[in-house]
Amino acid sequence: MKEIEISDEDWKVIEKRAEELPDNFHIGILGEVLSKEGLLQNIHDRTEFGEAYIRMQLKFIKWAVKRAALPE
Amino acid sequence: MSETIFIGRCDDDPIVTFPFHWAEQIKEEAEKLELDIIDLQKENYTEEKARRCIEEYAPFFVFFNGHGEAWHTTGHQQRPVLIANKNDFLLKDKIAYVVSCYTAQYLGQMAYDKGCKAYIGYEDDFAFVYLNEDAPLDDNIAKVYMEASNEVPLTILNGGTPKEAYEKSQKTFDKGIDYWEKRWKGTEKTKVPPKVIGDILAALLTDKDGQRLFY
Repeated sequence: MKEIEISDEDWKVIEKRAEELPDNFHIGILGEVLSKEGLLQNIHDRTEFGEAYIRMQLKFIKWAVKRAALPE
Repeated sequence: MSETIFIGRCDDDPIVTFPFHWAEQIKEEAEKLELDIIDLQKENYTEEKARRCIEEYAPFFVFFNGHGEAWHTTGHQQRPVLIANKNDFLLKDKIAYVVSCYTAQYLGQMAYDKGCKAYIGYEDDFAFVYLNEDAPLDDNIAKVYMEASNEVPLTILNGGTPKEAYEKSQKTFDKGIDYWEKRWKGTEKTKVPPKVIGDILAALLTDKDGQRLFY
């Protein structure tokens, strides 16, 4: 599996994106189901869950850029 | 060939509850096809009971659902059920589908090296998104992950090869990605906020890219 490098900037950008999620948002990953609030805490604390979430997001952003699908 | 299938599933924490209920569709299909079903659930889904059932009934297809690590997949109370270099030989001559994070990194390869006919699992995180807090299992967003995952066992039960099962599952992930991409770009309408669509797509891409076939 290819590891994705996560920079400090990545953590900050993804945290900002996550802040804009609706309050009823839930995500299941790595043995946890988290609400928006829980997700933000995990990103803030830079936990294993937060890292998994960021890796997913970076994969998505890379895909979106490749498909020129990223909105303005 | 054996006409028995094995399903192992647990519902003792919020996340494994999803695959637990998704497996119901597989059980119903197996019943329709008049296959014999071993359905180890909840406190019965243990290493010892799984071993006994697999050795005694020699199912042609084994379907494990639970948390995972590179070396094992877990059952009730997150105790390991299938473990690389311990009891992976149980998969010899069988087709296996494991809905867990990471097991395709090592467990899948180890089982395949010991004669597992085909192993389909996930190398990366297995993730999903939902919005309906009151009835998560009826959530329309979460269903897209179920449809793609369940394509594997449904194809196998209906006589498809492991390669066909893998390819159909990949196509169903693609269909889900395409569906949400159109809504993300705004070419199709949806009430789901764009930021959530980004997360739905992120999880679909992670699941699809991480799905592996050893065959």
